[in-house]
Amino acid sequence: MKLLYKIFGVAVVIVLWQVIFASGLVNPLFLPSPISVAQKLVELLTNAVFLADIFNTLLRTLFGFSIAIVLGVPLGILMGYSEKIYNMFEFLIDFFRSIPATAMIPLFTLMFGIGDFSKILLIAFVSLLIIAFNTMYGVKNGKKLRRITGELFGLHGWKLFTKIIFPESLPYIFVGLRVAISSAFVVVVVSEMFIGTASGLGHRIIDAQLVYDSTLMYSAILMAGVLGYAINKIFVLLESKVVQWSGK
Amino acid sequence: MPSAIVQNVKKHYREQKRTTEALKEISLEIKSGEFVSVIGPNGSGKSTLFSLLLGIIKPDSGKVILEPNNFRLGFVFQNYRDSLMPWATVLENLLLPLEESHLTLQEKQKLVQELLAKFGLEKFADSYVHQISGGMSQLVSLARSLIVNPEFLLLDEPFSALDYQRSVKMQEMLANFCEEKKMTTFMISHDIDDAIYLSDKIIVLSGRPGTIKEVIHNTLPRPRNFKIRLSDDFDKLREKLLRIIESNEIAL
Repeated sequence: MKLLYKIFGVAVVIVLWQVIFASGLVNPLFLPSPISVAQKLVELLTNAVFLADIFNTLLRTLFGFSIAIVLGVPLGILMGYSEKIYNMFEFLIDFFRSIPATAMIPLFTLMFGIGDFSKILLIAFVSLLIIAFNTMYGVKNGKKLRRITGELFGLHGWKLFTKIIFPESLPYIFVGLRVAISSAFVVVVVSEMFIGTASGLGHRIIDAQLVYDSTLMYSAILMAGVLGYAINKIFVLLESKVVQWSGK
Repeated sequence: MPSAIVQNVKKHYREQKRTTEALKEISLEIKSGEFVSVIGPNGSGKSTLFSLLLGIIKPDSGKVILEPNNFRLGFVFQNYRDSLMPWATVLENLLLPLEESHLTLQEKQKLVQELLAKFGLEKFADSYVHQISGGMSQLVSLARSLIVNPEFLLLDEPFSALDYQRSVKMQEMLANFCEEKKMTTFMISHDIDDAIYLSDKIIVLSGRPGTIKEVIHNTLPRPRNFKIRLSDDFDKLREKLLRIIESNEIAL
């Protein structure tokens, strides 16, 4: 029943789109027909160049995101554990986190060039801040009574960490990962619109716009939407499997 | 078995600009192998006393002396759900106190299986805490407190979430356990019948700040079973306690 409503909602938007297109009120250059966009999308899915765009966008996201996990989770744990490290980094991370990620693109291009290295570093930087902050909250905000319980059972140091503190912080870490991957995806698509990119969804979208191929542009935007949605859903699913106790 | 002496203990809490006096000059003794219960109104410092005996908070003044220094400790917190690990199954929760023990995995699992059977929790062994009821979680917490074969057992309202029938059954089991193992037990209760049934000594606290209003020695014979609840001596003790409680001022 829920699915039916969802399909109905999507259908309403598509019909409305078709009606506006058919009415001729909007120039097809701004709004191509949904049928031509769908046809283009199907065609693109068998097009090696477009598939390479998707692959490269996902690869950059994955690389940057992996670096962010490897550095962000330990940093967050250290900040959660040590008041000194927290005081040292809390303001900095919160400040950089407050800067719109896309505003950093020119800076990273200036510092690290226009290639993939710069994009991956930016994704890593943006995701790292979110992951570190959430991990830190997880370690800091764990239930005190659980920690006390562990200590009363004689758990200390590494064992207390692996048996109590880390699992306790996992729900927070997962929220961080989910928010971070969404931000990483936004950053990668936007950064691909800048010069120096030969392949990627962002590059395809901006290229299509420059040559007034609005059908292609709409198709690539839709594809970016589908990917962003799928990434988020994968993380929601992962979250419900790994931290099934969260929020219960 | 360990013994505990609480000597002229004062404790207050400070939150923002408000100071709450939780305990005012409390002194009491829990002898080796004794079952001591504490009853008293909300805010009388029962849980503070519990935390002091557990050693998780320190008194402002006075002393809490536990002898010997080292003993096997079992405990059930009033907020039992927050002290269970939600990422672990019932079985894994029960194994947690044995993490630092020298038993083999097989021995540990045997202990857990025995306790699961005793508490009627076998079919929940692989369930997570959020998948079982509040009463069942409290039973898991109680079972977990016994798995280490404690020498000192601290219980903060351990039957509060159980239905009457199960509560009576669990008390009978606990009474047998205590009589058999002769461990020292300290229990906080809101239920007079529970306190009478289980204890050797009942301490009645007055309202905030907590002071000891009366200490009642319970000489009802052991071993105890359900029939003792129907005896005249049980009734007399209940009446005595009710009169003391009735004269208590309620802290607001």
